[in-house]
Formats: sequence, C-alpha cells, structure tokens
Amino acid sequence: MSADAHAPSKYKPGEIAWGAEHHIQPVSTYVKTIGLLFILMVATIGAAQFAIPDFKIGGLDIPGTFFNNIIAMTIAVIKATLVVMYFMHVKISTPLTKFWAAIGFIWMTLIFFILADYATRPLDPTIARPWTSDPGSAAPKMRGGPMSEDADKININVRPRQ
Amino acid sequence: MSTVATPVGLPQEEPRPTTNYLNADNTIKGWLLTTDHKRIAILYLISITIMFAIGSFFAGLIRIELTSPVGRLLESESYNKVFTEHGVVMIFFFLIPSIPAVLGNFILPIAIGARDLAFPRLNLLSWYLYIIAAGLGFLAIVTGGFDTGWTFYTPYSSFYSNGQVTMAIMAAFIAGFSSITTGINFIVTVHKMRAPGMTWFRMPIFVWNNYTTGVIIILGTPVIAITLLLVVIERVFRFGIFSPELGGDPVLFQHMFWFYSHPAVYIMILPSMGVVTEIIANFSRKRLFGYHFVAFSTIAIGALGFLVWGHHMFVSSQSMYQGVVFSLISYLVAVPSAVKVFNWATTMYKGQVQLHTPMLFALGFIGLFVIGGLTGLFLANMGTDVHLTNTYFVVAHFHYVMVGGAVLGYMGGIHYWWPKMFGKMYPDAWGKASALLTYIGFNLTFMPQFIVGWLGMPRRYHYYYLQPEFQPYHIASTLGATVLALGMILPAFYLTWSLKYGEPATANPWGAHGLEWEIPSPPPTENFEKIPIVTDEVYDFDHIVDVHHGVATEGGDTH
Amino acid sequence: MHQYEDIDQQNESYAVGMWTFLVTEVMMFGALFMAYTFYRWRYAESFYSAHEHIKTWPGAVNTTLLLISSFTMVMAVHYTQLKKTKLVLQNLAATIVCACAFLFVKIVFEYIPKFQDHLLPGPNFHWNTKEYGGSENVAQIFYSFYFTMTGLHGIHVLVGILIIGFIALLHHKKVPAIVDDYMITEMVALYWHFVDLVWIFLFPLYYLIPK
Repeated sequence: MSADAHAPSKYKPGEIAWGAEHHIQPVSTYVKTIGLLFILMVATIGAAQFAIPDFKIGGLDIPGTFFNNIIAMTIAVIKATLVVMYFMHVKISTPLTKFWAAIGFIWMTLIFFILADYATRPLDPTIARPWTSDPGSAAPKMRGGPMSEDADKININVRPRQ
Repeated sequence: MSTVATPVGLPQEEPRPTTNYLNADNTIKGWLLTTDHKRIAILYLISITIMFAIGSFFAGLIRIELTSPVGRLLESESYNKVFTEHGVVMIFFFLIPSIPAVLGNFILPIAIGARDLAFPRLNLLSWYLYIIAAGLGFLAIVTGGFDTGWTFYTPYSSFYSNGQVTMAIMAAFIAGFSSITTGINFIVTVHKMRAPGMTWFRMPIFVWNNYTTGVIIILGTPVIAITLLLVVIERVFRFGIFSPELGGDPVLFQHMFWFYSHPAVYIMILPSMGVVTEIIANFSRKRLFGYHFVAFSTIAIGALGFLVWGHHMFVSSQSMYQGVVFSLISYLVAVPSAVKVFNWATTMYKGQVQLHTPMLFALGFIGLFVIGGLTGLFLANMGTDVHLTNTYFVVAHFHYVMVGGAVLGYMGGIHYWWPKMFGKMYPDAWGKASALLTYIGFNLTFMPQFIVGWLGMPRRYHYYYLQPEFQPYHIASTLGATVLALGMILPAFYLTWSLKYGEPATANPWGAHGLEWEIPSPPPTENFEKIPIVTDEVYDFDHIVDVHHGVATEGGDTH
Repeated sequence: MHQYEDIDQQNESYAVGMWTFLVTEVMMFGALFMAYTFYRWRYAESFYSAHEHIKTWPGAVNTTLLLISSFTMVMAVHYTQLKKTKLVLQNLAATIVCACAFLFVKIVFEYIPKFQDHLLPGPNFHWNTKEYGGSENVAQIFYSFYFTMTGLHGIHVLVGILIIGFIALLHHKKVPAIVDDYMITEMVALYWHFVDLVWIFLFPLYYLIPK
C-alpha cells in the first residue's frame, strides 16, 4: 500500500487525492438521493396499511397480499438501487466495479431456485404433502427424547407444545 | 537417463543469486508476520500437510475397521466419528485450500508478472484464519469428536447429536473465511495486477482455473457459512429453523448445504485441472491444443456447477421435476470436463512427451479423473441413483475424482514447482516410484469399492456381517490403501531430503514456458527485478528462456 | 513493498476487493432471505399472526436512523475527498450516533419487550394463540428467523460502529494513509451502505406483512 504511515502527507492542504474513476460528486446528488429514499420509505409504510383484497381472474384465486408483497419488494429494490448507484458510487465506477457490484445480487437469485422444489412437489405423482395444517404433528416422538412425557426427568431443553 | 533430473547447464552460466525469499529474513517474525506470498505458501504447505496426515490417520482407521465383517476395532458411534472427522478434515482443511493456498499463492502472482498478490496482508490473515480453524477442528476431534457425517444433516446435527458439533462447525466456518479471503485476493489480482502485455488470453490455464476457483469460492462459501451458522444457532439457542417438531424442514438444510457443497467440489478440482494443463503442455513441449476451449470450459464448469446441487438429494423427497432438471444439468456439466480431457490428449499427440514425475502424476490424473467422472454419470441418472445412492459406489466415485483427481494434481504440482519453490531438484526415480505406487495403490483401494457398492454395501456402515461375501473386496481395498499410503509418504522423505542434499536447480529445469521459469529458483522476494513486458503467446515453446538459464531453446530435448 | 504501479490501480483494486467481499455478504443474507421466503410462503397465515406482535414504529424509526447514517457516511467520504477533516469527523460521529441509536431502539424497544413476552425461541417460548391466532410452532419458527436475521444484522451494525470509530480515530490523528487517499474511508462506507441495504429489505419483510 502506501509507504510509512507516519511520513508527512505528500499532498498540500486542500489538494485532492483521487483514483481514476471517482470524481467528486456534488452534495446535491446525495441530498436528492436521501430525499427520494425517505419518500419511498413513507410510501412503503403507507402501502402496507392497505391490504389489497383477494380477487379472481377468470377462475384463478389470487390472494391480494401477493400484490402487496410485489409493491413492497419493488419499492425495496428501488431504494436498494438508489443506495447502490449513488451512495456506493457504482454509477460512476469502472465497468469492472459495476460487474462485481451486480454479480452478487444476480447470483443470489439462484438460491431462490430452491423454492422451485417445493413449488413442483404438488405436481408429483406420488403423495408428497410438503406441509400440513398442524405443523410439527407429523414428527415422530422419540422415547426419552425431548417430546416424551418423561422429558422433565431427563433435564434437557424441551420445547413446549400444546 | 540419470536418476536425478539434471538440467542442462552451460559452463558460462550466470552465478546463482544468493538472497532469495527463503533466506531473506530468517527471524520468526519474518516468517510469522510475512506478507510475501511465497512465504505464506510455504506456511500453508506445512499446515496442510499436517492436516492431511490427520485425515489420512482416520482413513487408515476406516480401512482397518472394514476388513472385518463384524467391525471389531470400533464401536458404531466411534466409527461414525472417525468417518465424519476424515471427511471434515480432508475436505475443509486439506482439499479446499490445497492447491490455491499452496501453489496458487506461490505461482499465480509470478505467472502473471506481479510482485505480489493484490492484498498481501489479507493473505497473511487467510493463513491465520486457517490455523485458528484447524486448531479448533483438532480440539473438537480430541475433546470428544463429532459423528454427524461431514454433511451435518439436521435434525441430528442441530438437536440430537451429542458430539462436539458446535466446535466442529465453528472450525469449518472460520476455514470458510480463510477460503473467502484467498478467493478475493485471487480475483482482484488477476483483474488488476497482470503485467503489461499479459492479456487474459495469454494467461496460463493455471491462472484461469485459480481465478475461477476464487469466483466460485466467493459465490458459494457464504451460503454454507450461514447454513452451518443456523445449525449452531439451533443447537445452542434452541431456535427452530430446520426442526420438524416445529414444522421446520430438514430438507431445506440439505438444499442450502449442497448449494455450496457441490460448487465446493469444483473448488477442489478446477485448480488441479489447471496444474495438469500446465504439466501436460510443458512436458509435451507443445502448445496447448484449444486453449480458448479449455479456458471457457473452466468458466462453464464454474457456472454450471452452481446448478446441479440437487443430484445429492434425489432420494430426499425432493420434487421429481426438480430432480429431472438437476439430472439434466449434471449431465451437461460433464461436457466441459470432457472438453478438457480431449484437449489434453490432443496436446500430447505428436508432442515430445517427457515422462518425468510431474507428467506421471498428470497422466494418472487423466486416467483416474475420467473413471471418476464417468461413474458420476451413473449417479446423475435418477434411476440408477436410487440403487447406488448412499452405497460404496458413491464413495468410490468421489474418491476417484477427489483423490485420483485433485490430490494427484496437487502432488503433480508440488513435484513440478518444487525446484522453483526451493531451488533444489529431487531424485526423479523416487518421484516416479511415488507416482506409480500412488496410482496402483489408489486403484486397488477404490476399484473394489465400486463393485461392493453396486452389490449393495451401504456407506458409513462399519459392519456388514449380513453380507460376509463383501469381505474380500474390503480386504483388497485395505491392501490398496496400504500401498497408497506408502506412495503418499515417500514424497515426505525424498522431498525433505532434497531440501538439503538435492541438486541445485536452475531457473528453468524442465524447459517449461511461463514467467515463473524466467526468474531464479528460488525466487527473490520481489519476484522480478523489473516487471516484464509480455510478448509471447502462452505455451510458446519457440521462445523459452535463453541459454543463460541452462536450457536449450527450439524445443530441443533436455537430455 | 509496492505491488501497485499507481494510485488508480490501487484504488480500483480496493473497490473491486471490497465489492467481492460484499458479494459474499449478499450471498450470506440472500440464503437467509430465501429460507424466510420459503417458510413465509408455506405458513402465510401463521406468519401474519406471528408478526402482529412486532410494532411498526421501531422499525420505521430504525429505517430512518439507518438512512440518515448512510447519508452522513457518504458525506464523510465526500469531505475526505475534499480533505476537510473537521467535517469528516463530524459526519463520522453522526453516523456512529445514528448507528448506536439504531441498536438502542432495537434492544430496548424491540428485543427486551420480546424477551419479557416469552417470544425468544427456546424452552421459554410461549405464544398466546388466543390473542393472536396462528400456530405456536410456526410462531416459534418466525421468531427464530426474526432474531437470527435482525441479530445477525445487528452484529454487522456493531462491527460497523467499531470500524467507523477506528477510522474516525485515524482521521483525528491525521494518519497520512487515511487522509491522503479517500479509498479506505470509501471502503468502510461501502460496508456501511451494505448494512443499510440489508435493512431496506428486512424492514418490509418483518414489519410490514400485510393481512
């Protein structure tokens, strides 16, 4: 990195040190960004107060909350983009920096492919009920385990069940 | 052919420089607080060898136990601990760091013409994180062990197991950060620190592969970090995330675990393929055939490797349709690997193949990796996988690719770059003996396991008295393991011997092409006196280092 | 040892290096978001009931605090570029104050009431099904995720406070390494903005679940 940390600064007072890609942004850019972010925050809180009612499209039952979630996530993504572009200076960065800034978010969407497993299970020809209406009821009871009647005598952590 | 791989030296050779990175600062502080990538590579070499020895010890226990159908040596619980610890130590503390941390750290900056990695102090931190992790892992082993399998499946690992699971997971967690810092370093170094004229397509394939490994590391390791952290949280705080008692889903753990652990196997194999490419090209004295194909196949393996994790979960109640997709992509990911194998073969065709020790390891790699890869296809097929899953067929498959592939590549790389790293030649005959013993021992160990797995022997079982006819296969396997152990131990002796008594090596003893062969052996601390300006294409054997460094040009024979 | 040829190469290396580290953080939190999404999709009604106990106002206050801290952080970088140390220190101090207030609000107004109401998962968890509805087991899963994700985020905030405090000290001592080149401060700012980013997604997912 740079030389001895205790050497006198090689820049005169007021002189600017910068790398190639980071010009100095005017303060108004930051002020406008934070203003937008606050507006969007109020918008997302406001949008969450009104639950969109369920409705049907030609026989398909659509829960209204689906659209609430879309709105909330859209606003969140816009806020995130503003932070990344302007606060994190990605807008004025080199293409290499832009690539690495983007790739994390893009790759993260791959993890959501895991949900496709659960989405396609109802289509399985075998009976694969991924979830029940009484969560935890299908779990086997182990003799002497945490859900047995004599759990108190065994003195291990027991999760209370109704 | 002499027993020592003697480089051809001309009488008027330049005097060997006396200061190099090894003797530059011989204090403890100079080594333990070094930021020199070459010294850090040596520190890693020592630590990784120790962890390899520990993992091999457990492997030995497994093989001894399995010679008897009733399992006389160990109790079931102890055996569970032994194979778990074998897996955890070998994967997290040996295979994943091995080539990147030792050979990548040493060679990558030199190969692209840099003085060091982009973040030398981060590199040192990486080693210290590894040491802390290894120490913690060792502590977990000796204070009771852990028996969940290296896969830490829930809810056994998160609730019911009584071993040192938390400590073991924290060790793997910290090792993950060691890995991540290495990955960050490699990525930034390759992007920003290449010498003038070193374009992407003039980089040696070893650099391409380590770069891709770095990318896989940063994209995948965090997922297992958080997954294991969730297991610890569930264990320590009794939160419920994967526990079925609360309606949680253990299969979610499996998804998240394998999301990293499959790309992890590509972290283990890609650097090894890079080493093998270097060795094949340089010991055939011929330009790598299809360089662009090999480079892009590396990227393809890295990318596709993230899309196949479900093939470890075909029988886990995963959706059949998901399984079909994973099966298809698993078949696809075999294609870039095959591309590499074809390119290696065509590189050797009509080349001047020199069968020195590194070349033997590389050839062994090709044979064993092909077998491992082809048997993987049986497992990628959902139908046959139902029969073969969790049998010894799987064990044999992954050992073929991991040991026959990654470890052979590692050994080949050590033997290839040893003269560069330490300035001494080892006796080639011993090297060849080691390579041959490794190859023969390895096949004898794991080929019977394919058969016994097909016949139905489950993995992670230490008794098979219900099927005593499996015993001859297990005995053959243990016999092979003994030969393999001999092949692995030999280098410890002759390589160490060579440090003191070996023939001094010139800058380019193999007559190879690459920036690392243009600097003295061992290299000076700053690598290059002057940063080179690269004008050769890669693997350009018409322009090897000139006669001052003792090797004939024009692709002549070195003997 | 100088492995960089010029300041541009060095600064871009630092930027790319920091972003590759942030990629790891994105993948880490991303996996948590995926797991949360899975359970929320699966137990949508119980998740709604479970979140009833979470009040919106501490979340909104915390969002405001983090946004302000992001602003002051980027202003600190701005003034580092202009080499106006006093303004740098003021903005760094403001960032730290906002971050500490964030943790204060979180612990005092969110965590402690939850501990008192038996909402920390574990042996003492108790869910008042009659009042809020939904399954107790799922409520325990919800709160497991809540504490894990907000806790992990809180640890990142804490680490951020320590790092920002450290560079504030370096600025105060006018250490040339940090005064001459704004990149170090920029790297810390990148980390801090990432912490803000995670919260931008946590906030609607935990505090604004619609019926």
